[in-house]
Amino acid sequence: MTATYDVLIPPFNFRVQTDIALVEQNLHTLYGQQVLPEGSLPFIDYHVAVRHATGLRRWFRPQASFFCDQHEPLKPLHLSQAFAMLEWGMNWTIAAHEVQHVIVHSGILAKHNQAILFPAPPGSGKSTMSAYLAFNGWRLLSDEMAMIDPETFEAIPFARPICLKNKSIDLAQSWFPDAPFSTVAKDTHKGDVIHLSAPLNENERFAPARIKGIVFPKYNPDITDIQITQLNQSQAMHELADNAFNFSLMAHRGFKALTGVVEQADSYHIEYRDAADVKAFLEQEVLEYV
Amino acid sequence: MSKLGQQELIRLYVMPHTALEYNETQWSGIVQLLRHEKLLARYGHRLADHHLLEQLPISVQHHFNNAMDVTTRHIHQVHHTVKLIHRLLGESYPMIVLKGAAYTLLEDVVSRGRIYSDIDIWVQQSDIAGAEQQLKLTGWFSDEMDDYDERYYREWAHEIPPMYHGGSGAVLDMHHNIVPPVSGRAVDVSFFIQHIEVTASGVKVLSLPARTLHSTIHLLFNEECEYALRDLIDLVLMFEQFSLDDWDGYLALAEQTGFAREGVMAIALCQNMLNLSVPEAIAKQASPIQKKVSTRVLVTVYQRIMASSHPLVASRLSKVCERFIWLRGHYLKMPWTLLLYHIMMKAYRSTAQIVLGRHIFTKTDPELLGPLKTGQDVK
Repeated sequence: MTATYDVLIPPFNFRVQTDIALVEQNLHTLYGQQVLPEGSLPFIDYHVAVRHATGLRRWFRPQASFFCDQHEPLKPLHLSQAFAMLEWGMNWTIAAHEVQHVIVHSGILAKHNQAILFPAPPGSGKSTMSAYLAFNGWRLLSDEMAMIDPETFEAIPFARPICLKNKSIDLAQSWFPDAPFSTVAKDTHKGDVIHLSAPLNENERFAPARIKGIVFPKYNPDITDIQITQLNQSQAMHELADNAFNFSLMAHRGFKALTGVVEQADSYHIEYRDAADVKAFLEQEVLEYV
Repeated sequence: MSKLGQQELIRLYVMPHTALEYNETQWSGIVQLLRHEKLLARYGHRLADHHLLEQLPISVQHHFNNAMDVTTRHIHQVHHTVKLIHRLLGESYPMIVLKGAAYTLLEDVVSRGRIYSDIDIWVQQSDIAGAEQQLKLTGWFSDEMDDYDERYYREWAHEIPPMYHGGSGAVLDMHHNIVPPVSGRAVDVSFFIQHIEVTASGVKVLSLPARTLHSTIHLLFNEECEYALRDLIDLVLMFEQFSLDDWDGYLALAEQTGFAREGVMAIALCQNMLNLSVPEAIAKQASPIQKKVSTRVLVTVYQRIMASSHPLVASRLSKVCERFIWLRGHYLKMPWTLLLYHIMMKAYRSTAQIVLGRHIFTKTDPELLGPLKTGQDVK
């Protein structure tokens, strides 16, 4: 049975098709009221699908394939990872097509409409930090893809579920036992992963936020106190450009946008053991009081 | 408008003002089809030129703008990459830049909004090994390939396996002929080489009639017709620039190289589908071949497959026509013994793919986020 839904994920409208029950179930859990009957949205930006792989792979060690319209950009994954694949496939779709915004591989969250970028490599605790903040009074704009308007240098929300890996799965489940979690996708290229939906504030769904800080976090269980190093603008620019997906495609517009962001934000390298310390530092030292 | 189809896309090209008739939902489908046909940026420019783009819903403009921005960026990349290759191969391995990259270097209207998947160059067959080695020294490499594909390229086709640049992700196709040399119809390249012009940056490209004929051969002498409407629009944009001399040159070169039929078929397709007007003398000259039943059948078949592969619009008839073109393309390119072998190999491989999954022959393991940085995979 193939199910088709229109899924509203501002600023884009997706049409999602799947013949995999697991995907359909997770879609409802994580996107809730954003999942609408096919045809509800007047304009569809991207048509994506996750389907059972064909041939023997339908039955023997079954696999799932992701499609962006007719194009299959990724290799199939094990069927149990089908929902994670949909999430990654949607990331691919946006990164491959969108050049009106600079897209940085980074978490981004805001409080009082002041946003902090968290660009960081996997394993740095970035997503755990996103989850912690998103459930403690901050607004999630994105966990993986920060979209920056090249004219205003503001961040545009593209709120998607947070992707948690390995040890942080248990941690997050103990923090927020009632939150909407997906099923676990085991043994992916990132290890075990789970997706978690952050609370959504209806009024702020489309609201852009000014980028106030850039934080390169690093989780370190062996330290007692949070360690903060302020970065200069060229260090921050360098690291930010390294994390921008479409930096070369955006060319000078991309350069201008990232320079603009770096100039208006303070940048820090933060080593931490407790996410609460980071939150306290950001709220007390980086954000302006409103 | 009931069901979207090939007719709507062609009407939108020929009569851009029909753009204002569609609502957002209809545009969803049109944008989807145009993206699939690699025509989103091409149509974006056409609509912008007619001051229609700004009258469309913002959501629709957004996708045209994305596509146009990407092609603009590609244009910079092509200039840059060709400059490097040209400097690298220099005097030792004289090259001619073909197809899309040539349009870009010339700043021809065809290059506006055209999507490139690769840069095509021609070098003499005796220079291939040297040029390949020279490129490999500066960061160009070929994908690992299974033995059958490797042999197909090197022995039977007219090019070597594509090369990639490690840093920029650019793709280079190096040819030593215009069509595969085993086909018995292999072109005497010297006919083409007589029709050369030099770009402002000193790079050699084919002249307007010669590159139009090359594009014609690419469209009508090939087993694949995936982006046929895109290729046909390229052709009409070139024909529209023809002087009377260019028309004569085009037909003469087609005759000399053995592609007289393809030459007039291209004219007929552009006349029938895209409203191309052709000087009377040329129409007269083309008419004997155009009137042949076999030509007319082929023209009809090609008309049927233009922009009709997407499931939104595909019909059983268009699929049959595609199959026919696939067979004819192979038949024209290969002696029948080789063709039989090739078809058997393809059949074996596709059976294996059906049984064992479509990625059984895929060798490389693309990182999930691998293609993102270069933006090469944009469709």
